[in-house]
Amino acid sequence: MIESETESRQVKFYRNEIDVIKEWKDRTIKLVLYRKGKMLSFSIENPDDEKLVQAVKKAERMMKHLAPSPFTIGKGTDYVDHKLFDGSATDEECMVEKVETAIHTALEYGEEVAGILYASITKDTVCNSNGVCCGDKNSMAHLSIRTFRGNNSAHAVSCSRMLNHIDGHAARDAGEYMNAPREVKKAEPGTYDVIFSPLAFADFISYFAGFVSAFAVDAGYSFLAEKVGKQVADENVTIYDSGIEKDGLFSRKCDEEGVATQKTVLVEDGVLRTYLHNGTTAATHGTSTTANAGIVAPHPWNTVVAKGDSTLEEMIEQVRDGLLITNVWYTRFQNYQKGDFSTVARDVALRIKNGKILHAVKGMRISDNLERMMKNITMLSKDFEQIYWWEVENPVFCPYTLVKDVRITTA
Amino acid sequence: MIDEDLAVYALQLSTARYMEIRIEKTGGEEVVFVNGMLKESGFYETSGFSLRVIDGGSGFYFSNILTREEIRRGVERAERMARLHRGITGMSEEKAHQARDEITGNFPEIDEKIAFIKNLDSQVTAHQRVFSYADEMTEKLYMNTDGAAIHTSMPKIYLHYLLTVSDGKVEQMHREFGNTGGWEFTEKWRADEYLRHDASFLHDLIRKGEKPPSRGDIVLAPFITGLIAHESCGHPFEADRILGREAAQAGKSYATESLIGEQLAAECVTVVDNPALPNTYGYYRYDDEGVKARERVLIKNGIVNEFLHNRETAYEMHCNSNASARATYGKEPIVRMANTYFAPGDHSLEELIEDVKEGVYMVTFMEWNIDDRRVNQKYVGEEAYLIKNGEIGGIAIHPAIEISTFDFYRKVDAAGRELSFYPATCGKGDPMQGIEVSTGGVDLRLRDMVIR
Repeated sequence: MIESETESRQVKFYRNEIDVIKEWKDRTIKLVLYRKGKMLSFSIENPDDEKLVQAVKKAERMMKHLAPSPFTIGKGTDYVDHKLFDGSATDEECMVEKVETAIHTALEYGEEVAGILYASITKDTVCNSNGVCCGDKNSMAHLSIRTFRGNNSAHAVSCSRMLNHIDGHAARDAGEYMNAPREVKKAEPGTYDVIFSPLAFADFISYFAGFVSAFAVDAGYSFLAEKVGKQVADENVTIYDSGIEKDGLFSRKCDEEGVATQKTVLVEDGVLRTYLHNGTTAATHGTSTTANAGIVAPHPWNTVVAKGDSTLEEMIEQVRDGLLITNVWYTRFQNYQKGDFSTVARDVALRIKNGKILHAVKGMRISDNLERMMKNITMLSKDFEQIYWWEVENPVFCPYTLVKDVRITTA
Repeated sequence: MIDEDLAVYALQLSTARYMEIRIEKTGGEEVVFVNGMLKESGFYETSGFSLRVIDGGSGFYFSNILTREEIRRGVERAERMARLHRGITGMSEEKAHQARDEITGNFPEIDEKIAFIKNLDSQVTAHQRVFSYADEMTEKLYMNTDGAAIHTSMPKIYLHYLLTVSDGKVEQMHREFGNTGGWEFTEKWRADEYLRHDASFLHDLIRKGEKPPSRGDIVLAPFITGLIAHESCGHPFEADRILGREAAQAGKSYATESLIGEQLAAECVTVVDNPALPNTYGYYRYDDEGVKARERVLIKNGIVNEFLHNRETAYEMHCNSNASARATYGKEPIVRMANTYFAPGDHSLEELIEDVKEGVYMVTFMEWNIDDRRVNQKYVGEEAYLIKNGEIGGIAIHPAIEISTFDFYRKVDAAGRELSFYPATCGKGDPMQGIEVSTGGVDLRLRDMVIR
């Protein structure tokens, strides 16, 4: 049984003013039944005892008609809980104050501002017939803010488990990029060395983290099939999944099977070490759970790209013929098993030649292959940032990333 | 059954200039098969209420605790949140309807659903395949302080598959099927025929595919033109986007208020969004502000005719709502599409093809995207054929078009007459509101295109 109670709030703003404040209160119980090789799951919102009994009866009736499903529940209850928790994360006056600061700061760089600040507090309980009962409480807050100046724009996020860690001045760095070069030119198609900001590269890493799920691999939604133990990224790249990251938005004490979460190295020196597993996929693949259940599909918690040792300035100096791309969106795959995809560069992008920023560019699309790009990573910055927003749906701690020979197309 | 007294109680408690309540109950079932193995089967039940208050600013409250005590708390909270900020909200004046729209639809026991998918699965056992089936029945009561009261019952049924064929190389195809209605649609979908066709086509693509020409005419089938209508006309014509309300998420629009009446497309182009088409996946009769749905002609003979409005955007642009407010469960109503399509012209597919000297006929896509002003768009064909001297010939390997919206709409020179619709889930809002829509339309021919 997985019980979840969430209280959340959001302040949405556009055209430099707060538009709406929203609040949600949600209690949901999910139950998973397994008997004689058959598995069924169901969820009910805010049930009383009678509703629960009725639902269980319905489930038992349905189970008689089911085909068999593989099902194994993972084990491991050495819970670690060092993550941050903010019992005041949804304080609406504090949220409004943060938003007002964010708007005010962004207007130093642009003339129009839009975005959201979202915060939630969740209590989770996972209990099962193996005698496991894991109670957990979590908080999160994330600010997403986009600043416009004429036809230019800049996007920034700030994410933390603590509301008071949200940076009301988040728009500053992106705003400075936007305002530095005044000239904007249409991009030319070709092959470039590209520095991706944390916001931009986190988009690719969030897809990569999804492709590492054993469910995605088995279902044909991943280019990582049969690649454990093989090179899937440049040897300077190490990526891990962590359910115990202190400030990770998705850190949890246990997964849906009640197994204690952990840090799992996915890619070490460019070599794929494991898929993400729940008990069932682990049994199918002949390995152990990585504590990433999802009862049906394992999923990432927080994906962390290990930092490099460069500053952004050093990375720019290394680029002979390239670009700095600060955001992407609409990443879509032509073929999940090959990793062929394209995505649209969004917000400010800068042309770099011989280590110098020349001007801004617009109208680009990255049309490439994800495995090829991962293998072409040449530098990583020594600072990273937690990214979570509308386009990156699982948190990624991501540094600035330099990728050589990225294929750029234009309309 | 929805307890109408709870909704009436909420409206009685309200001291705001405007308040609306939506009480919703849904029950649904899901089945997932991966490579012949049942991976997931289950059901869900949701029930809750949403309140939206406009009083100075705007406040929204959702809870899935359906009690009078919680309703009272919700009204207090929504009103407090609305008054906590100045806001920028007003609403257009609209007729307050009292109506019912109850669509019937029945679904069998789960064993029949499993048998249905097993039968599909058995058509293509040589390949990797994933099937996701879902059905649900939603009851909704909408009421507002202007006097609207709308009861709806809405069954939905949906199937998706991803098929992977490996034969030295790997190719993939996905399809969706969906309607507002019951189990009877599973026969109308002819999903088994599509599966067999897709498996056979992907084999042929791997073995016999040819490089497309780098320039030529393109005929696009409704599977693709529907997506193009949705992405490059429907989305940019959402008035909330034009006003900047989605600027930090789904982005802005190339359209401005002054675009109304301007020639955007060739004369043969008409784009329509119509929620009231019975049994379509995006069907509704009344929107989530209680406004009666009607056909919206977005582009009429190439000229921009109207945008999609809810009552907030209509107020701001000094017009009336055209019933585009839609809310998914527990979320605020925002401007959405329903069933968006290129309207029929007067050409058969044969007529569109017969005077193409060299080009490509694109039937389905996998990869696509568009920038956040909805100008720079790309579509990559999966099922596609070469056209040579007016005849469809061999298979084209992944022809791609990457073109600005303005060039696209100007280059259309003829529209087909056979209309088809495809279900899709449209994403917008924050938190994300994935909502049922149809994309659809007719074959379109575009002249002198760069093909990648």
